[in-house]
Amino acid sequence: MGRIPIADVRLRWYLALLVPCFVGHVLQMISEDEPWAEWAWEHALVNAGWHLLLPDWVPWVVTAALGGAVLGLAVAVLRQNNERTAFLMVAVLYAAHYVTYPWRIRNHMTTMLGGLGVVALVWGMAWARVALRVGFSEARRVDAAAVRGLAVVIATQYFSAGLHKMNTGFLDPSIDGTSSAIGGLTAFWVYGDLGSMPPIWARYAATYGTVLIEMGAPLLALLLPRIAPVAIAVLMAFHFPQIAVMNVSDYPMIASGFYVGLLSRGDAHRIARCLEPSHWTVGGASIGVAMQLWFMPYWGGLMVFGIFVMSLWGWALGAMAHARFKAARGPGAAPSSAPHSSPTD
Amino acid sequence: MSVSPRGRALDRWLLSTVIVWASLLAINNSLPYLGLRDDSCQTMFCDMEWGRDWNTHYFIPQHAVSDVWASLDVSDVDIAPPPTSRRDQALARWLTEPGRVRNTEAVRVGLWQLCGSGHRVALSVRRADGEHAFVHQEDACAVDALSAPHLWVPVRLYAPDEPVRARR
Repeated sequence: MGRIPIADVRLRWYLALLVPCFVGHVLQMISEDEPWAEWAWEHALVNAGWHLLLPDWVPWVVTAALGGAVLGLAVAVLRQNNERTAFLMVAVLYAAHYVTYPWRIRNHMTTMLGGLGVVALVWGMAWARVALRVGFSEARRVDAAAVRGLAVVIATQYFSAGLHKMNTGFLDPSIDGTSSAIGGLTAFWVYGDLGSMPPIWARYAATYGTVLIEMGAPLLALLLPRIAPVAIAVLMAFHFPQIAVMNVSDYPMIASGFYVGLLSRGDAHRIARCLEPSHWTVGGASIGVAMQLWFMPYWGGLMVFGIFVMSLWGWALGAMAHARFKAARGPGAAPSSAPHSSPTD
Repeated sequence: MSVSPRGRALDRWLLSTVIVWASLLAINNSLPYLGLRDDSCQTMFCDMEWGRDWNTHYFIPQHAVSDVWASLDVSDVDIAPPPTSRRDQALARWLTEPGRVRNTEAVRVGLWQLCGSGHRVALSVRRADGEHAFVHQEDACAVDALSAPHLWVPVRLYAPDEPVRARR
């Protein structure tokens, strides 16, 4: 399997995006878990889990091995060589990290595991059915299924997150209520110099809008791949306040790694042709960086990482807008060899 | 473009794999309503509160089938002999820190380690939800409900402690 190249550009993008995802994960561990601190060690003792049954050094060795595997994946993606082997090593070590690391077994780790797991499972099943072996390869079909798996996983995760939020606490738009959405929105409003208190329409957008976007946008993109670029733009806009003022840029980065799975193969190829530096991409990245610099309340590891995430997203949005613009100009604007969008892509 | 029977069979097989995996994730994400887990169930920032048979969700009911979700008020802790190792002292500090309620499973994990290192632990304990009375246990190590964690569960299911706050 390791010698069969990745046959889908969307999957290669996902593998490449895993590298910044892990950077965000490490920054989150360093800035919040502080595993070297006395309090963190004490905390680990009362967190249930298999780490209690293992020698103290095991979680550290697994984490270090995972770091090495991620570097290996980065090299493999750059050289476009042995990407499957590098990915499988990352997936196995991440599963070990998941069950041995005593602190951060949070939503972002489960979502990450969901993505790594679905790709590894699809490849494993395909290998078992002789569809990923040299001479019998159906890599294009298999990798398309893995991409579809990423889309289904992220749609499931977003849908669940939106469903949980349909409660009296989160949907309370009052300023003095308990809703995290209102807390985040107020910080966004204040640090963005938009005013001292968000207006009522913004509060309804932050509460009901969050539920609507989380439950609707990924699902619609999954069912109607043609609207995926718009859904992705909506999801990125939805996550921006979290990156800007809530110090959680790691999770939006992880989630956005899955967005490539929502794109049709045709759209992905059109976007790939627009990824080079241009007014669209450089302009998008510049706007993203400027927005983060304007809103972020302080300098910190994840805030600086947020600058990177916003530049990446701005670049991607610029490329998507450029691709859409070229497509709208007519068939002469795109090479006739461009693959066409299909719901089955 | 026609697809070969082998290709169609492969597509079906791979799609089934994806659906099974996503279903497992969806089941995991629904565990808060069974009182089995909220860590890693996409509940972050959802602001939902729950008890044994109630929650603040608009339409999904709550039915806790276990006590791993519940918090405990712990007081009058007496550990004999007094802990001397760094590990046991840390556990004792966590167990006696004021102003916190402690997750039931986390208390089990803490007591399991203290009891395992030869200490006898006496304490008073009550469920933090509702109007429960304190029960004093002279030898908590002999009470499985307080000192026998579910060791087969690989990761924590709920945060180990949180500040005391008004509860419904």
